[in-house]
Amino acid sequence: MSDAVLTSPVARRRAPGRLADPSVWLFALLTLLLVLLVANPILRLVWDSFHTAQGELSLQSYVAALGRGRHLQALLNSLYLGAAVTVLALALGVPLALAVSRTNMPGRGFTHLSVLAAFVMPNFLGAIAWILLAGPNAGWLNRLWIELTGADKGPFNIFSFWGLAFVIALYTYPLIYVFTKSALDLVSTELEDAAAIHGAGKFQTMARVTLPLVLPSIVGAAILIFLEAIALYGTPALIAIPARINLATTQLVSFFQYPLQVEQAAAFAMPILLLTVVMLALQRRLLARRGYVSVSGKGGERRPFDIGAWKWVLLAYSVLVALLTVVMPLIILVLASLSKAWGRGLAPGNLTLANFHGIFFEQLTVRSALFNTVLFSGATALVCVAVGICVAYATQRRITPFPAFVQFLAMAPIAVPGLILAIGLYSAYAGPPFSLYGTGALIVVAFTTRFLPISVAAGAAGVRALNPELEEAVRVLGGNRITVLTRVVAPLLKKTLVGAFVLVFVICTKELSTAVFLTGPASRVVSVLTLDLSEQGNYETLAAMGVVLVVIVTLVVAAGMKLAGRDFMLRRS
Amino acid sequence: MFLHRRQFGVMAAATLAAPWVARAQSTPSAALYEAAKKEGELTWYTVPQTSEVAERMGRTFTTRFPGVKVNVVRTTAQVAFQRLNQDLKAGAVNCDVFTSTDLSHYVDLKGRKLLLKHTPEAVALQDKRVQNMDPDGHFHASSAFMMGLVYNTGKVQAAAAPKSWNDLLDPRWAGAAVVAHPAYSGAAGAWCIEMRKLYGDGWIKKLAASKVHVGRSTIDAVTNVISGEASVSAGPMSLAARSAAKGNPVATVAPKEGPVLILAPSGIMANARHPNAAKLFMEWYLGSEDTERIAVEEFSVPLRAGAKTAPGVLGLGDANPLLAPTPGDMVTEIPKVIELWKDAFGV
Repeated sequence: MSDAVLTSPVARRRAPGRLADPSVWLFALLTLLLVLLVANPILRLVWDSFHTAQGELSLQSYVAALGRGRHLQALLNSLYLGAAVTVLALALGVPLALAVSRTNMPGRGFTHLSVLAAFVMPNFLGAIAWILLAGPNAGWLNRLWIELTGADKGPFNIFSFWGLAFVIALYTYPLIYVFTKSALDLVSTELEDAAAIHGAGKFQTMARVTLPLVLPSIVGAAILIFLEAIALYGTPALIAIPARINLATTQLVSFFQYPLQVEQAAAFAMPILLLTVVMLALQRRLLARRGYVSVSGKGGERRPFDIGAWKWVLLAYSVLVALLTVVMPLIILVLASLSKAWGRGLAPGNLTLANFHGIFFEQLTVRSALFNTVLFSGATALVCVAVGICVAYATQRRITPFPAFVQFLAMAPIAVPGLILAIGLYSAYAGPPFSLYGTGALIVVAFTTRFLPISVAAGAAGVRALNPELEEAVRVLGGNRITVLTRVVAPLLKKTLVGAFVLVFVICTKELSTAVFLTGPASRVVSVLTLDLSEQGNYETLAAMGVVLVVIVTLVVAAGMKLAGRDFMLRRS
Repeated sequence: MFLHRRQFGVMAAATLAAPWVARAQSTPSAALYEAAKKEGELTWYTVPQTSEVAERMGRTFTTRFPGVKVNVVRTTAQVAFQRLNQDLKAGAVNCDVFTSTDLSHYVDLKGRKLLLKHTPEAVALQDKRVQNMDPDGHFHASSAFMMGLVYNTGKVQAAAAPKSWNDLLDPRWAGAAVVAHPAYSGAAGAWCIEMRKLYGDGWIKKLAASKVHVGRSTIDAVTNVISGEASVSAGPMSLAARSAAKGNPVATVAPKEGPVLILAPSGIMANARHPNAAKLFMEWYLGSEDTERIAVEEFSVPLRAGAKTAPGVLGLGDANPLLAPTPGDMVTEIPKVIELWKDAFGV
């Protein structure tokens, strides 16, 4: 490698001063881009909230947005929902993480895979599947129940507060699993052995030693789940409106109904934004605590707990969770996509391929939305990975001035719920001078802003693991930072980068809230089209579109697993 | 697959098809077509059809006028208007032809000078009763359907089916009736206005108390009845009849107080990027055999003078009484019923 560097034209040119190094300019440009991408929409949002539509400074928007009982109730409902989802997600995620990481439960690989599948499944698709499964009158589960028990009504009602919380938890719990499992993987058995020697039983050990050790991670993940639940729009639009629950996100959207009240929307968003920032700060403090020394590094012996017959109970639970999150929803979606009318069930004469024919050959918008989704997600993932590794490198190696600030900028979008970020992006880029509204570029900008933190975090973890000696060797031999980045860092971090690419790609295909205000006729993505088509209750077509999307994403994930290792999606970064 | 999907409707309609051939049809001038071809496409925000039918109309138009593509964006009325206003605020002119079910949106757009003053020649071929919707020619009636009572024939016997709008409050349907939200659906807005006129402010509260299921589109009110999720609903009779013809367990009743006529206007945006394609599309939409045929096949109400509806479908002159809110009603009443609704339903 050093030969190649020596003979490259870049290497022969001696840099006379720091400013002549093109990489300094590149990184300066990058910082500027970050300011534009991240600070611009967020500042616009805050500015809007304090001004009237005519641009006068005023608190009027706050009075209008927060001064009504119905609006405050929506905020309150969202908080309840966030709490309920968090509890359910904990109940789903913690036992599975314990089982896979610390016990001798059979089928651990299968369980791990089922969590990955739940993570890949778009939330809005899961919601549609569950409407088909647990609609109060026609849901297949309810009809099965009626068939089996002879009752005149089934027990499940997805159009309820707990139905809504349940569906959201089903597709957010992987986060709890990932955080808990990552922490558990670092706990050494010695402490548990010590507890056992002092006479603690297995459950006492688990409850008094193992779990407390990973508690900060669990609480940290719980906070993220809470925030995700209050920021979600797709599932609430599908379930909360029929369930008559007004939520913060559905309320935010109704500010966008005519007459358009962007300022009120911005004002209404402020309490949510504030809550998010506070809770994230709390989460960071929790996770940064170094009090739990045993979690700080690998070491010691790790033996799985032999939990005796309980392993079958845990296995049954894992299978149940897999059934609820992935297996049943996918079966129902495939069946619905092959049905003429889903409500008729598996009846003879109800089978058809027409829905697939329809989405590929007749409903041109569906085909173009599928194409757009893949295109925009791919482009976003590419940009995120490129910008992410540059930012990570520049900040980790302290090349740019104020590296901490640059890192903060890149990570800041995490603290902005998608729908709120979308409002900021709409204000910032829709009109002149950018005039990006309705273009695919705006969707890519929006997705990039929203998901940059993922690739930056992944890149930073990768760069931290590299010994600077390699890079210094290039510098000593006269190569500049760009050579370092492209010839040394990027090749060494290939797996990390591929992993980040696939991760961002998958998350983009699921993203609805950022896209909902920003797409135009030519830039619609599957998530937005799902929302449009779901108004008509045309679940057969929606199911067909969902099945195609799941197939595409699964292929991408499979390729990613091949290139970046089995575990890349479910690592905590 | 078209062939078997059409089966019933087409055969029923075919018996009526003969007279069309002889009837006048608006033939847009070659110059207009040429100009439209130069623009190559138009974007059509539309509400009254299902997305399948809207896309089929777009494809049929392109078959009739090769070289002019139609980008179809189908949503509910309030969402369409929200997007349109979002577009306008952003200075992005996406929409060329705007077709919706909420008349008040047109009054509003016209007031803001956002609609092109243009009367397609095809208007002269329309039924006199729907001509002159806007005396100044900024928007024109383009399609129509009736909101009526819809029920699932597998769950409800014809004799037991609701006969009056007020029957929706019958405890028999508690948890088994479905309606659409007026803050999303324009047709639901018009329907709410008429219900309020008939039964007063308290009716929407009573509706909320009887645990009706709330969808976003009135189309959903039909699909929910077909799936069996609901037994009865207030929904578009045209779509229900069309679905029944396809073999689904659904039937309609014209309530004794009268069905609600939903007249969907179309207008060209004043700053449309494809004005000629838009004009060509309007000629075709308002006055062509294609659209009349599709209207009949879809069991909605064709608007061309002398057009015959599909058997069993109420035409413009067939329903008596008929409830039909005026544009003026829609302007003043829609915001009120949305507020009443949100207070009653909480969302």
